[in-house]
Amino acid sequence: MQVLHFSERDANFIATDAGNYLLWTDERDVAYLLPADCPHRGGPLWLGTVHDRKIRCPWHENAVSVQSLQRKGLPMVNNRGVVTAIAPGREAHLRTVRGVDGGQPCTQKENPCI
Amino acid sequence: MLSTILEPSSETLNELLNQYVAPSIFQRGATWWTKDNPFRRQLANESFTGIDFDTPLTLEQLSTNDSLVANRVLLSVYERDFVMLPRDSVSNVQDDMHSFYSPQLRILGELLCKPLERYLFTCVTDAVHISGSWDEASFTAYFEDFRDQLAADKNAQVMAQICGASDPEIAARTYFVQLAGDFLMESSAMTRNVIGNYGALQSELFKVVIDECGYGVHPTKHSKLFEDVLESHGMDPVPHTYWPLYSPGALYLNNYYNAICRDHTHFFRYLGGILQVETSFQVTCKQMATMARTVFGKHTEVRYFQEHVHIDGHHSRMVMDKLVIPAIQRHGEVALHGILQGFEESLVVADVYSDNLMRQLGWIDALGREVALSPRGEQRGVLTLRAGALYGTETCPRDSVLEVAGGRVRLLAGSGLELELEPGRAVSIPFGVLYGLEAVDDSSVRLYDVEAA
Repeated sequence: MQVLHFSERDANFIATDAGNYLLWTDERDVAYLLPADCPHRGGPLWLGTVHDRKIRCPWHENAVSVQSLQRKGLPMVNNRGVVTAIAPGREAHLRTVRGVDGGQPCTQKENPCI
Repeated sequence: MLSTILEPSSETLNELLNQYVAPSIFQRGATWWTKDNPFRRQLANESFTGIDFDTPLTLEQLSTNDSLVANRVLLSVYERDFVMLPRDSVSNVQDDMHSFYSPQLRILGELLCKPLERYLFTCVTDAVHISGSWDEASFTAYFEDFRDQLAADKNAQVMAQICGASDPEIAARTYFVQLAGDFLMESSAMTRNVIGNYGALQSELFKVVIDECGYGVHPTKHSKLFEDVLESHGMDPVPHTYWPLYSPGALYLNNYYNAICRDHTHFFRYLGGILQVETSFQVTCKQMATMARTVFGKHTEVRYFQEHVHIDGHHSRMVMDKLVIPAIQRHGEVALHGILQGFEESLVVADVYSDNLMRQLGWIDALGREVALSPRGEQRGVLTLRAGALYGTETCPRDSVLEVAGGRVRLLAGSGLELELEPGRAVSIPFGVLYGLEAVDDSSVRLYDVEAA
């Protein structure tokens, strides 16, 4: 277990040896660190598309509910844009990822259908 | 009917506020400092016109004059729960005491309390968001990381600013004044949580309170130790002699802990807050002691700070092991969420306090140095003061320039700093700093906005 601190402007992705997590902000401006690997075969959910509060994985087009991902989100606190997160495993790396169109990952808040 | 009483309009709340601040105990006296009278304190000031209760303040607005007045009123509402007596016979201030504890102010205070808390603390609550699946193990990792990384950088910056000031003694005294509002009442807010019946947690909290109160041995009571600090520097140890100098940030810090202790639905938030404070205080008090010795010499009175360096190591452990973890184990997610919220909110409030203080100290320091005056823009107003009249204290709504047009005035800026300004003299008054004026002669003062860059 590791404690990470980062600005939400500097990173939106945590890669750990126990899985990947994507920083996702909902319509109420609450940030979550959602599991970024599809529960089906581990596809990259951050490259998926969102519809009706579900993320469609680009690999097999399974729809994963955002609510179920939120329940498995990493414990985190966002204090004025600075995130403190408790990551599993022994190694964790902060990254910035982009969505399928090169912009924000599919799960970011500007996507109006979430 | 009840909803009309419990949720009055902003207009009604301002009427109630005007009634609350009206008694003579809440008016400014003939001099800045009250002597041996903890009840008398100025609440509203000349620039105050009312509060927009429908629009809570943002973090950036917490230095405004509306914030200052709202915080003064709210602290007075809270302090009616506390027993305060003057050092000399109460017969000298009996009318003030009865007025302070009157049923009228009690009712008005209760009606104003929640709206004022919403007005002031919504921004703190909104600054913190918690998500994900927390449990005892993740909270323990979070706390241990905080404790192990703790450097109290912002407090260290404040201490460095004091030590490096053009007049470090004035800066240090001004700092002690900001501490006095809270430290002279130390543990009063938290003792609201030791009554009731909530199992073993209650007895564990009581142990912390016992330490705060010095085991009934008055010279070791923490508030008495701080009185000794003040007296060692020739300062008055009676609460709230220096009320006009309390910055909005210092009042805010004090009020926050009262808010989370007075409303028992925030009990777990309080546990988070006290865990953060007890953990941080052992570091910040060490910094304070070092600052005091640097400014006043190695033999200066620092027992207050040394006591906390020692006992708060215990308190941090006691609160974590005997209060926080058992609360999480027994009360689950509700407790954990509240504790985290309180821990993080208390960090926000500490930053508000430090930022406000650094701004005030920076300004005081600039007054003592030759600093280029900001170019003045539009004239905002003219104050005409009779000889001996006081104005303020208040905080400036914008970066301003104050110019004495006629007569001499004394500018109150910090403890021990009353700068006499001759006609023609101008000084910068930045946004959010606390200042007051005393007319030495019949005087006229012009206020200008700083010219936009």
